[in-house]
Amino acid sequence: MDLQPIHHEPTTFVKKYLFTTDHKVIAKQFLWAGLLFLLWGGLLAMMIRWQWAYPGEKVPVIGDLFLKESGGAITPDLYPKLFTNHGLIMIFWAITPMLIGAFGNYCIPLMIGARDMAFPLLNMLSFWVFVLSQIMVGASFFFDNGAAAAAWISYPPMSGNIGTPGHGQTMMMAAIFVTGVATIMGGINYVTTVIRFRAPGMTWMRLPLTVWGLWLTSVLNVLFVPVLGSAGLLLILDRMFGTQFFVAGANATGTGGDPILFQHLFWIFGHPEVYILILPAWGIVGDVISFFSRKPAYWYKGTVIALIAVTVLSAVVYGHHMFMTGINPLLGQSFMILTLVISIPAEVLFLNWLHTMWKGSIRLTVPMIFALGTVFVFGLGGLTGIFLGTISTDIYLHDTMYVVGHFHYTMAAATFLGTFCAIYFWFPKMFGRKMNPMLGKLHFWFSFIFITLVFGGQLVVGYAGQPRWFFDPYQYTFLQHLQDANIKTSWAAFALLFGQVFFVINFFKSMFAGEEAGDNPWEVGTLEWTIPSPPPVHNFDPIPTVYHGPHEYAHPGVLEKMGKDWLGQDEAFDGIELSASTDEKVAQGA
Amino acid sequence: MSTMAAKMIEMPPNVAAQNRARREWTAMLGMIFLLAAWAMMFAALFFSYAIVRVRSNVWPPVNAPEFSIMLPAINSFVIALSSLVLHRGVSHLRKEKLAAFRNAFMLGSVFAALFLGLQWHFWSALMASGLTPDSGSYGSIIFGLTWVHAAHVLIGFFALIVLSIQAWRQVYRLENSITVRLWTMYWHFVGIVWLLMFVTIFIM
Ligand SMILES: [Cu+2]
Repeated sequence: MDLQPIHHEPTTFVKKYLFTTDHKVIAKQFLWAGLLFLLWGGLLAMMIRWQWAYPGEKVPVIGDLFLKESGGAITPDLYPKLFTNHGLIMIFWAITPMLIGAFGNYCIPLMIGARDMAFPLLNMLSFWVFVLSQIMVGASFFFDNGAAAAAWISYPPMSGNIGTPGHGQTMMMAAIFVTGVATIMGGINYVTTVIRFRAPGMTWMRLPLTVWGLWLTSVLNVLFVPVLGSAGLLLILDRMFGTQFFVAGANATGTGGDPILFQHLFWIFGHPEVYILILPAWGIVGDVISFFSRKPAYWYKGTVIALIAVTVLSAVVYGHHMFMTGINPLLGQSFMILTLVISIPAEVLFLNWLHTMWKGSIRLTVPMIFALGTVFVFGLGGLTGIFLGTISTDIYLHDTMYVVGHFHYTMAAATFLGTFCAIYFWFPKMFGRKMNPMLGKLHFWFSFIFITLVFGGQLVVGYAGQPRWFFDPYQYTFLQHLQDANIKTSWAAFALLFGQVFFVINFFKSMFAGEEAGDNPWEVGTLEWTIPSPPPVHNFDPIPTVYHGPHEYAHPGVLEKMGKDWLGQDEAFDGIELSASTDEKVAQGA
Repeated sequence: MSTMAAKMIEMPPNVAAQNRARREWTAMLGMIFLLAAWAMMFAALFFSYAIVRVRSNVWPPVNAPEFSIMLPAINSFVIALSSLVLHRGVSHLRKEKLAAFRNAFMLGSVFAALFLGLQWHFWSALMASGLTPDSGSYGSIIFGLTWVHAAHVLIGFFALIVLSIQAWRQVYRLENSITVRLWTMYWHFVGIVWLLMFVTIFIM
């Protein structure tokens, strides 16, 4: 019996589009769910930006629709709900489902030459559990006292019964737990699929970097999301069942627990989470830069080793979020050094990407410019992070808008641009049609310029001393002179939102009326481009044999014999082991 | 299914067996990662206990009521025995001794129910002695950790009931034994976590 049987295409609507086990359809489901919540999280962000520019003034449109009681203005009670839900929605219900849920599902089986995931039923379950968590987020807004308001980090005592009474906060913690379950289900599936379902010849060192990034992300998800699950569970026990894990008090006399304990649990998860979000984007960028530089990825092995090193290091640096909690200075210094060590593998990645482009025949396609934008903003995020990872500067910058600017460059800007890089790149495969490059470029320049300005503005006011989370910073005389800078930053944010209109038009127009894409519109060699667009239900027929790595470009022999500058992973070429020769050239410094 | 079975017959038995072994290894790998995730969740709970414990200079806290660890000790014995019984049951299934396999899983379900019943008793006894979930970090650790563990036992208990019913209806043979083996793995895991809890919370 075949290990990967060919399933017949389901005929009913419910089985084809709702309760489907086809990884390609599940990917699209995750994409829709993620885009919807990206819009929601984005609108919350716009309200926060409005508040920082014009505190107390009526919010245009949204104020008329939803804030009638306060005459359209954002109230001190509403404000913390905005930034809390903005953060949580963006991380767990927008970026995670798009980068990991959608592109993990779409790319992994297609790129490794498999017919589906290892556990298709678990895959379907993962999506519907995720939908349940989204419904819970929506429901959390309708309780007495409203939605969660303890910031995305949900530190006690703020997230305890006294800080945020009512069931909204409890519901949000439960929703995080449930989405965690969905993420773990997906993670188990991805990890197992890559280990077990690679096509013959698809060795680990021939995997596309996208698959490497997604696989390492999944390993982190499987191991560290459960820690967040525990933290959330204990918090729910504290809120609902009277335990006192995080209630400040004295352990020795049995009068309470320790709120700092939550911070430990949260950041043991929280730091790996940063890499959970960015590793898929790094992988995608690594592939896309090689594809559109028409050159093999420079030092592929080094990139893989660097990705693994970052993954391992990300598990042992969480203390850098707790420098201000009275941590033992020796421990603090260890965490500081481990944190700064991450810049070494990160440098390897950046230099490899630059080196890949060096002297390449660069094609500035829409996915390529989004990839380059991702590299640029992540570079800014990485560089600004050094000052937060260093204790002496963190003492000054801690809890300021500088922190907000930094982590938005890494977790928001880089993943945002990385996600769109992926959407523009795989759209022709997913929907069988090309997207409009002109609209795509407009979308890119609006997104890239204004996202850089928004978070740059946050860095600047933070460096000038503006704390994060302030309802109305200008109540304080020492911050009043920053209003001007904040207004400009807010307008950059509004322009960023406006730029997304180009994407929405392009996305829907291309889906129905775009030019037919054909099998391989980008002329690249990974396996998903060897089959029709969109692919049939069972993907491959028969399962391909892989002869070399994912980045075989500009090989003079191939150009001479086949008249093209690229080679599919499943195309044998005179038995020459191309990947090996590329690696040798690197070793010789060529 | 019938076409699949037909294909099985056409195939040389060693190839079919090889493919089965491969599929089982895939399922096993999924279970290993699932248990790794669960282990991390419990590791976080033990970590919480460790932090609370090292930050307290007296443990148990002063004024903490005395209670007997008789019930948890008996329960350690019960859960160890249940693991042993299920292990025997799986080896019966491997030899396709279906009646012995069925009896083992029914006995395992009884042990699981016994464990949950004794836990319930233990919690009531604790509350009667004055130790409640809101008795500071001490009560929180004892109740919180055993609650989370018991929830996992409950899941296992339901699975054992279903497996026992299926065993009664002779659903399982060697070639589809993987489901039974994976749940048994889960059960061993829950047992190991309990023993760790017993040693660290009630003895140390
Ligand atoms: Cu960190």
